[in-house]
Amino acid sequence: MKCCFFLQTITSGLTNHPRVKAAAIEAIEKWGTGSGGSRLTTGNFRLHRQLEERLARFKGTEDAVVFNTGYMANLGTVSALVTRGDLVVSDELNHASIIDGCRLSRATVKVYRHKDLAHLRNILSAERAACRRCLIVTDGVFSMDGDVAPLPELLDLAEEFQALLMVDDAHATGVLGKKGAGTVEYFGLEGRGIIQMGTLSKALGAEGGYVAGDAALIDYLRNRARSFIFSTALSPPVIAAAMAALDVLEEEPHLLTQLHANVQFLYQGLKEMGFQVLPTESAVIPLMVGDARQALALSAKLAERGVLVPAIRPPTVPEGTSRLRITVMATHTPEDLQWALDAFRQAGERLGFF
Amino acid sequence: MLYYQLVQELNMLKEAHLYRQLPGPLESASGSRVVVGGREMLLLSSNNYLGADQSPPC
Repeated sequence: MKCCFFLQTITSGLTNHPRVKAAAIEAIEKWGTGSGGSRLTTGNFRLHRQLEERLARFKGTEDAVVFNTGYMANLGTVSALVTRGDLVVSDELNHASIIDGCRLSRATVKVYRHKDLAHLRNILSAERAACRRCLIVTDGVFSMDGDVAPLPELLDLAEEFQALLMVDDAHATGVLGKKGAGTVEYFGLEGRGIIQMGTLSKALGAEGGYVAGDAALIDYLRNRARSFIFSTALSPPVIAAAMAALDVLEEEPHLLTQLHANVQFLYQGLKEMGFQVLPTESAVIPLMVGDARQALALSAKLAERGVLVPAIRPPTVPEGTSRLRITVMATHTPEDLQWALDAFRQAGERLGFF
Repeated sequence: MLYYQLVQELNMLKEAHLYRQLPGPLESASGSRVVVGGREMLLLSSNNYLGADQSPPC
């Protein structure tokens, strides 16, 4: 039976790209399978630095540092930048790794309502003066909703209140901006000191996380981010695959165009059918169901028809907002997408969605 | 300056000889002998205890 995957974080389909696979295989032949030590001791290969320099160029920053996962990048960075006596202000829909980084930091943590700038301003007005350092942190693209953070307005507030601004572009990298460099490129905010976190494991088809930013910041993280300092460095094939994926992204810009065309096609189709899909600017299309049981039923009906889209339920999303989190890939063909739409129509009809 | 406090903290680390920089990168696979800065060196500090990530030497 033909089977099609629509819950994917691999939005450009690069995990199977021939060039990316070849680079990983070649790296194993040349460098072996492991790094054997942490970056600051014996695990620092020339490859690691090449990737970091490459990421900095891609993101338009002075430097970058690679962590072993996106989770570790957020955990290490947030907990390094703020501590007791500091303030961290976080969007309520931020990823769990940011929440855990805030907890680990021992800073005062305040959460603002999703993208609510007035609420954020109130918190900053009330709390900022009493704290030494302040960090505002947000997802760039919110992973379960697909919407984009209001980065220019967040940066204005950060500057007004002398706060650092950090954006998690895990779901924006390889998706937003002309080059696919993420939300900072999308809004044209390069060179403004925004701390850009991202991952190598989604659109870039490898593994790992990174932070790109000013040289002083990156130097600081290499000295203070414990998840960086105390981890064995990523293995050579992973690093080589990420670099090859960046090459592909640069040299095959049609992938980005195709991704957005595919998103629009599927979004319009589902909307016209009568499903409640949230408007999206990313590769994530949330199909809102509400009831957890109903979401599971829709997911199961789709699975019967060979379409894989797991239901997302509490606690991942708030109570009463269970949904199917659909993500589109650049490598889905028009036939794939039409076939998916047919399956959604049949499943929706059977379950009385419209 | 945005990162003034961070730079200050780094300077304190430097004065205490606790500042860290990435070491000269490996230019070879991480075997018992490695190439660093064009020089072959005996690696006596890897966690790659069994050398299991390498095919046996030819």
